[in-house]
Amino acid sequence: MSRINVLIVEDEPVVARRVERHCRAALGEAAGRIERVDGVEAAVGQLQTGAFGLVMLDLNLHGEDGFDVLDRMTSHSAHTIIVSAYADQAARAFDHGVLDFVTKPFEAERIALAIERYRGKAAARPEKARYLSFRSGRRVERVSLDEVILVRGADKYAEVVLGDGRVKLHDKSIGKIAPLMPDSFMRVHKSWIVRLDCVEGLESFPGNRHALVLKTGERAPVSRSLISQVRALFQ
Amino acid sequence: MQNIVMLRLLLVLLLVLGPPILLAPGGAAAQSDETPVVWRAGDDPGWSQPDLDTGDWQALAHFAGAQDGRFWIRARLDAPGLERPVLSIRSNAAYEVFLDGQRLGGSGRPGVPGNRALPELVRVGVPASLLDPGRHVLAFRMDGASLVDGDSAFLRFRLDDAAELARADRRRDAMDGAAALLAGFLLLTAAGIWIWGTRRVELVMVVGLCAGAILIFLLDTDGRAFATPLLPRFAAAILLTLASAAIYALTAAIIHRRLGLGRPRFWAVLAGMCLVVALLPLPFVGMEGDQRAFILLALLAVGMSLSAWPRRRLQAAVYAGAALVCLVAILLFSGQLRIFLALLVVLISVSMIVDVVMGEINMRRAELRASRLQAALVKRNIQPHFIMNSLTVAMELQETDAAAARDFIRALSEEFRALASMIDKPRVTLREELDLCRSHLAMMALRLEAQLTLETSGLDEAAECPPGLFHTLIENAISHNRYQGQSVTLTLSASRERTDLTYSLRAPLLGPRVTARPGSGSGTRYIEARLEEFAPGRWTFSSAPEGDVWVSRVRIVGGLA
Repeated sequence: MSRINVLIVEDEPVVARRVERHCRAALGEAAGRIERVDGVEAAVGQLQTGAFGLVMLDLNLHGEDGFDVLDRMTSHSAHTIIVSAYADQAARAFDHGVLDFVTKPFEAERIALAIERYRGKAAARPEKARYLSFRSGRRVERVSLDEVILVRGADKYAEVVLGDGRVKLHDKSIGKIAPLMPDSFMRVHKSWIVRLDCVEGLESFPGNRHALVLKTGERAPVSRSLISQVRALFQ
Repeated sequence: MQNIVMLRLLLVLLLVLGPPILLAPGGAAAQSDETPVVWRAGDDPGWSQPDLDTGDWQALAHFAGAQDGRFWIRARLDAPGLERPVLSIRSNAAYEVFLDGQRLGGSGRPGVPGNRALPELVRVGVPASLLDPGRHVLAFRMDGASLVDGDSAFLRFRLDDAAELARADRRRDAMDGAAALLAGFLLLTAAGIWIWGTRRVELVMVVGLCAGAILIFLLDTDGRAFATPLLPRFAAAILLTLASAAIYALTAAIIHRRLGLGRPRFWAVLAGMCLVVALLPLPFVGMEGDQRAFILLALLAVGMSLSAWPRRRLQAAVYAGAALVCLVAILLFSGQLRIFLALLVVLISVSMIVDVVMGEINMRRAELRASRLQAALVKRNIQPHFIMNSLTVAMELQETDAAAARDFIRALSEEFRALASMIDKPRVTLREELDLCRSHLAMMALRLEAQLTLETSGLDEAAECPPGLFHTLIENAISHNRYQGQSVTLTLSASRERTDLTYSLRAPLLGPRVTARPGSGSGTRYIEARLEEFAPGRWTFSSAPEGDVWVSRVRIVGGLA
């Protein structure tokens, strides 16, 4: 079983300890290394090691804005769960592609549900991302999902194809990006996510193989297990 | 809003009615002021004859009174060849008037015991045949037992053409009407604000002042009310006396109040003395009593302004200037008291109404500001970061360390109790504020697993300060530093330089790369707003690092009031 490393970004020690305690309980034997940091720079420093699969992030860190961390980390492979007192920031956080938003004060069960969502064992939140963030040198570039045509897997990364033909490499795998994508996208293959309003037709090949033809001329393979759902789109 | 509209209406009315009041012509100079007038004690019907030798008669300016009250007055009259001549006479004594020995008319019955004439304007039509162009003699047979030596202002007369006189009457009526209308508007404005707005005694004073002015404008047109008398002569005289006295007293009282002068009895006695002096028949002052009274009132206003000068320079300058303008008006327009009165009523009433309205507006603004600050204080302490983190800490401690949870909840409740006790106060004692600060530090120490203490020096804990002032500074220091797990001592000290009082809060700078610093956030805005409410225009606030501490300084210029 692969272990999950968790980074807790929280400036109050008692609260950080509570998050850690409940994370450990929810992850059980899957719990890997769990670190606690209390500021933006420390969090970014830890994330750059690439060692963490999950970040539990507070949005107010000694008066600093937790969104500064979020802007920079959504381009990383780690998933983010916000643990904050500011419930009114949830929509903005989901726009940034966070997996879940836990409001303070919280019970053990709520952290457990968030962990389940991370592990894909619970239904994802209905709120979806509106942007994807990409690292570009030291900068972080945010791209609206309206510009995205398709996403295809590239080993542990994902290639994001934009409407203007540009292709951007994202640090998250396609498996991690999929739960964040809104309903206007569909995962049609284990390595392909397409934007539905860019689909022009469905091609069939010998051997019960199928592919979607996109308006850009690209072809996206369709899994045999998903062909019935894809066909339903054309009816 | 209602008051602002009324003020605008007032300004419009002032612009419309002001020029007619100020520019309306007064009556022409009384001819008695321009003609040599002589007098002689005694009573001889022959003294009415035009060719009498008056070499042994005396000038009226040296009037010494007569033992039995009987005397004669003679004056030369240059007849300018008027079409319909009318002789206007105003006298405090009963008289008969003769032109070139021929009786024209009179007022009262000279020589009849007990007969006393009230001051009244009498107009006597003169047959044109009696007034050939050239020099004539006007003679008055007088009965003035009550007249006093040296008072020569008891008789005034003039000769006009009837048509010209009617035009002058119309102009004067227009002026009086406009002035009464303006005074009426000011009266209604003051009464309206008193009824629907604020019930300030100054407004009642304005109502009284305007009411008195209206009576004078309507009734005292040389003893007539417009073309026809509105009231019996006696009633009008009583009302006019009361109105004049009210205007005099109210004007002095309003100026005294507006200038914030103390010693009300002293000024009341001084004003009373001025009035008595003004009404005393003085042999060396050739003007009427009411004119003298208002001149002395203007001088009294200048005196009050000078007395208030060291403390209220602007207001003192305004009132002294207004009094001098009125003084000049009454001297320039020689006896035209209505112009003086109109100026006086307008200046004082507008000043008072504007002051009351602005005071009301400022008071409402202050109340609104105070409400907002109260709300801000509450909001600061129920903001999500503070309250939700506190509750999360309480839950964690309750699950892991029941004793610590009890301590934490106790500290939190003490902070809220301290906060609740001061939430609706514009100022609290330093002791109350320090209690709140220490409760907050105790609670935050548990949250941050730190040791947080506050040391004080030089503080007068009975002194007052804005609520939440130092609490906010401490809150800022904690949220912008990394005191977790540390032993931290904050110090609050007070120092005095001359009359200025300075509070300094020193907070250690801890944490490797803290980017946000206090100085521009909601906490700073709250502190600045509270200080402005506490000591308007008399405070400074600074917040900056000094070595390894962050120092916030609050300076109250002039110290605590």
